[in-house]
Parts: sequence; structure tokens; C-alpha cells
Amino acid sequence: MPQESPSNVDIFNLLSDSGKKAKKQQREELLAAAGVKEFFAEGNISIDKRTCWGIECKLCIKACPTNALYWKTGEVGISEDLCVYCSACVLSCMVNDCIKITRKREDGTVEKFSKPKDVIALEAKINAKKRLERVKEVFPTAEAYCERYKPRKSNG
Amino acid sequence: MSPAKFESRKFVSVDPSKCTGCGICEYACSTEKEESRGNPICSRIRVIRMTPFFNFALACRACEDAPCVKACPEKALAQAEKTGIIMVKDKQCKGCDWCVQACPHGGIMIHSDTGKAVACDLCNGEPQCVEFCPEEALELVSSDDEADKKFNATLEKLPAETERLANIAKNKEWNSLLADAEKRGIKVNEKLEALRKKASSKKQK
Repeated sequence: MPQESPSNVDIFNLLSDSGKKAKKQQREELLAAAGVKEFFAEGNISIDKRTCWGIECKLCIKACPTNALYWKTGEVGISEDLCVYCSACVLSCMVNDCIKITRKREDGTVEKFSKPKDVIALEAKINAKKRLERVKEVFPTAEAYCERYKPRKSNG
Repeated sequence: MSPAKFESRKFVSVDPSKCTGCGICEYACSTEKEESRGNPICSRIRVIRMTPFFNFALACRACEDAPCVKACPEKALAQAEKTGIIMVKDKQCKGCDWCVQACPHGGIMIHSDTGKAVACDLCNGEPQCVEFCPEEALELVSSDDEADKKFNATLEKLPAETERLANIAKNKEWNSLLADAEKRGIKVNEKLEALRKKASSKKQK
């Protein structure tokens, strides 16, 4: 592979970059029209067609708050521009490991889930984190204080 | 100071110097709210155990401009006019977790069985967690400042408390600590038994 130099521009890279930008802009416009705020930087959603019950269930389509899931002929379709990676479809799904969502926060933490149980556990984790932050807000010196009064290590 | 939006706004707050982190409030909440079982996973109030000196119990604060209500895409959340309690319309709630992401206190959560959002509703004005708290650390408070005052008061008590404990450890006078623990244990046992009676009477109904 030849190394890139400033004069040598990779056209394919540029094309894909501009494509990504255009997609992002389209997405932002669509979501702004719907009055929706995004909490995640990136994400991915997929549906396993082998485990999906299809026309007999359709619960995820009813649950989706932004109408990102719709009924294609014969299967559930996803319009990824509208999906904001919430957990409504996974919570409503009857089967495990059907809808899989991975999402990335702006601070870099990645969250992955495909079962209703995982969603509940994840939410409890998020809440616990927030409570701890809240407590630390009130006690800015608590950590420093604990460090000062740590039990001293005994030598030997 | 801007005028208060809700006339009789109230929420459950904790005095961290009194709270021992026993978690009875969690059990009291879940036995009151759940029909079948007393599982603290479904509790609206949660305990945080930080150090021996400060423990917390946090619940929904009924904020003046509640971010969870703003974030809800289905308009399933609403605030009561006078008290500011957050009410969930079960038919419209679909279990997307946007209220959970938006809440700054971690006060709203999604129920593990039904998949709908739940928040503290003060049990019709008589919170069971306040009633069952063995140390009387939980209280109904009407403003954020009032809650923060107690938090700040415990910060001032901390140095004296640590010194007392350090002295006990130095002189190895464990008896006073043990007597304290015994007193607390008796109180906790009383409250636990009352809870058990309540749960069994509920089952018979």
C-alpha cells in the first residue's frame, strides 16, 4: 500500500466522507422536524430475520416512538435515518436475541443489548451512575477527604 | 428567587448524617407498590452507600422544569398541577428510555416486569419509606435549598466524627461501638417485623 502524501488525495476516502456528512445532515433535519433529541453519537440496529416472528407479532413497529420500524412486504424494515437507538423495540420483543442494538455515547462508552433483561440491567446501571454523580456534586471534597483519612499501611 | 411553580411541591430527602444505608426504605416502597412480591429491584427510592459516615437515599425530586417530561416523545409523562408529582400514563408509555437518559438525578426508572416508566408518587401524601425508616433520616422537604442545607450540615460534622472513630480505634474501646450497633439492630428488627406483618396482611387480601 502506498503511503498518503498531501498532494496525493484519496478520492474514495473523500467520497465516503462526503457521503457520511450528507447522511448526517439529512438525519439531523429529519429528527429536528420530529422534535427529537439525540443522546448518542453513533449506533447500529439489526434484526435477525430467522428468529423474528414477522407478521404474527409486529410489536416492535407499534412500540417505536419515531416510526423508524415499518412493515415491508414480508419483513420488518428499518429506516436508519430515523432510529435514535432507544430500547423500546427490544423491550417489547417477544423473543431473545432478535433485535440487536449497539450504541456509543459521546464520552466513548459502548452499550450493547439484545434482550429485555439486558435493557433493565443497563438502565439500573445508568441510574446508579447518575446518583453517584449527584452525590459527588454535593460533596466535592468527599473524595479528597476519604483519601486523607485512609487507613495507613503498616510496614512489615 | 423566582416564585415557585408548584404551590405544595414536596419530595423525599435524606439526612446523610443519620442514614445508615440499611435499605429498609427500598423494601417498604416495593411492598407498598408491588402486588405480588417485595423485590427491591422495583423500588422507586434507592440507597447509595458511600462511606461509614455518609449514606444516601435518593428518589424523584419533582423538579420545577422536569427534563423527563420534556424528553418524552409520546407525551406519556405529565406533572401534577399543585404538587409537581410526575404521572405516567401507562397506555402511552412504550418503554423507550429517554426519560432515564434525561433525568439528572437518576430518579425515574423502568419497571422490570411491565416495561413502563415509574417514579416516586409519595404514596398519596403518606410516604411509606419515611414511615418505616428506623433512624428517621428520611423526611418530606419542599425545596432544593432545604435539602442541600442538610447535606452541608453533615459536611461540617464530618471532622469531629472521623476523629471520634479514630480515637476509638486507637484506644481499642469497641464496647461503645458495639452498644450503638445493638441499639440500631433492635430498631431495624422492629421495623422489619412491621413490614412483614404488612406484607402478609396484603397477601391475604
